[in-house]
Amino acid sequence: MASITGFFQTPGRWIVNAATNAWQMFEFSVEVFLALLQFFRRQGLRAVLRVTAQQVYFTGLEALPFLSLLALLLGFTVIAQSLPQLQGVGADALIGKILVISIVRELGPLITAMVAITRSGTAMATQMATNRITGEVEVLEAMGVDIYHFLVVPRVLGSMISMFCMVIYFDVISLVGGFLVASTRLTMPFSLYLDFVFESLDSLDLYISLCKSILFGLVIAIFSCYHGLRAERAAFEVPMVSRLGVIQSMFFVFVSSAVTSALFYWI
Amino acid sequence: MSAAPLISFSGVSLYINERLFLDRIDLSVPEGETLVIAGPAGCGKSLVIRLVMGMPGLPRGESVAIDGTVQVDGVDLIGMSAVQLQLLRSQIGSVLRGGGLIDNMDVLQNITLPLNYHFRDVIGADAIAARCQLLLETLGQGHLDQPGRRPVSLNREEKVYVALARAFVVQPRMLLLDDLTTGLNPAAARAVVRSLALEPVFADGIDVHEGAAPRPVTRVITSSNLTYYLDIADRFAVLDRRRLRLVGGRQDVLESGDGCVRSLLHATDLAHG
Repeated sequence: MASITGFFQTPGRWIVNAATNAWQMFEFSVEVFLALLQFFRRQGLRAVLRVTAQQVYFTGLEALPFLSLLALLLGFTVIAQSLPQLQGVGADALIGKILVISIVRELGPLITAMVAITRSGTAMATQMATNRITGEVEVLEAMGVDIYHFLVVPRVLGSMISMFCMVIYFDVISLVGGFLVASTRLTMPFSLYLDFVFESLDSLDLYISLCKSILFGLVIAIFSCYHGLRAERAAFEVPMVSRLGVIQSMFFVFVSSAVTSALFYWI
Repeated sequence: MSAAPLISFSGVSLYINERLFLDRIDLSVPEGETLVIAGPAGCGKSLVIRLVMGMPGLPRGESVAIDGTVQVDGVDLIGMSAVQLQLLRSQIGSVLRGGGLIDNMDVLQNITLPLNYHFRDVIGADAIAARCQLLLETLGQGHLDQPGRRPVSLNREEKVYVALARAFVVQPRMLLLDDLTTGLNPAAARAVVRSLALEPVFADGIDVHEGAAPRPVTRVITSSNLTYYLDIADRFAVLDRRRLRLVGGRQDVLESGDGCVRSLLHATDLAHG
């Protein structure tokens, strides 16, 4: 009997923990949304806007060199792999469709999100955890500063704004720069290539790509801040909560990408 | 000094995660009084201060239960809404955990943070900068009045003074100071304690708590060393093992035969630093 109880205890505890975490995550998200709704009506707007601008700088501007390199390499790889094959069967015009589907709709937002998670998601989770452990969260609250308004919302907004701009930047560099790099070995004129891309690109693709970018920015900031603020007392918790923030951000970015694509293109 | 208590604890027991941390505390602090709560490490004195502020910085999932009532300015703290609590905290100047400066802000940003967050519409940027400069000079730390100076580059004493400047800058009605002198040498500790009597007068003449009548500053200070505060405190409360052992004036403390009180009179903060 004891062994049967033990057999069910571990998964039971796992389910209870998962449900508790999910509930706390939900509560945290509600608090963040409430603070977000009151963002421009609250006191301390200037102080909070400064934190938001800093977040846009760290998440967006500082990531541009690395993002440019990735965008060029991805664009070059997809174009160099697919265009010769398409030209071989006389289907050159499909290059636009392939690029729009692979880069604009899916890979652009996803790779940009991965860059944001590895650079800024870890930084946000680590900083929140350090703020908590060193007592800075307590000090801020003691001064009457709402930590959702002052610490979390600026990071959420900064992350969303940065992701929106970064995805546009990534798509342009990938489609244009990628072709220019690949053109050293290709025979297609640039103007014709651009015609194919623009013919395949409709407003829905752009709309979904940008919706995803904002959604990913939200997911990354919320999960990173949530796990960061879960640290309690000891420095050894910092890498633990950062790792959880990164893993869950990544997982939910992929899930939300798949759900968004399914919603828009299948239904 | 007004007779009505600004802070009142009636039979307060505090449990965190079902563990008892304060046991049936009865204490009242009249407006304008300087009360020193003393006790050995771990006796719960910091929790008294944190309770007055509504337990800021409580980690998620940590459960707090309070028996009895804690009232601040006649309002029950337990029933306060988040907005009321935020308003109360904006009127408090506090120094927690040996300063509690925000590491990724420089000294000037640290000092001006509560003004910038709560009262930026009432007081302009120039007046905020002037207040900051005045406070640093009054506290003998004028050399820190330069942008870009991070808390990490400050010594323990400078950190305490910067935290005090941040507490003074909002013209607080209450100063709640937790273990200010811990880790300081006796001369530095005495100098810090002397500075608590300051009531800076700002040249801008603005009362950031506009509409509220000017009120005397009430100070609640925790320490594990009574000696430093004998000359500035109106009353002393000694906590030991979660309970109040003594509440009284300077004479009561000096004449007490209680071993705990005697040890607090001869304690040295450096031991806890």
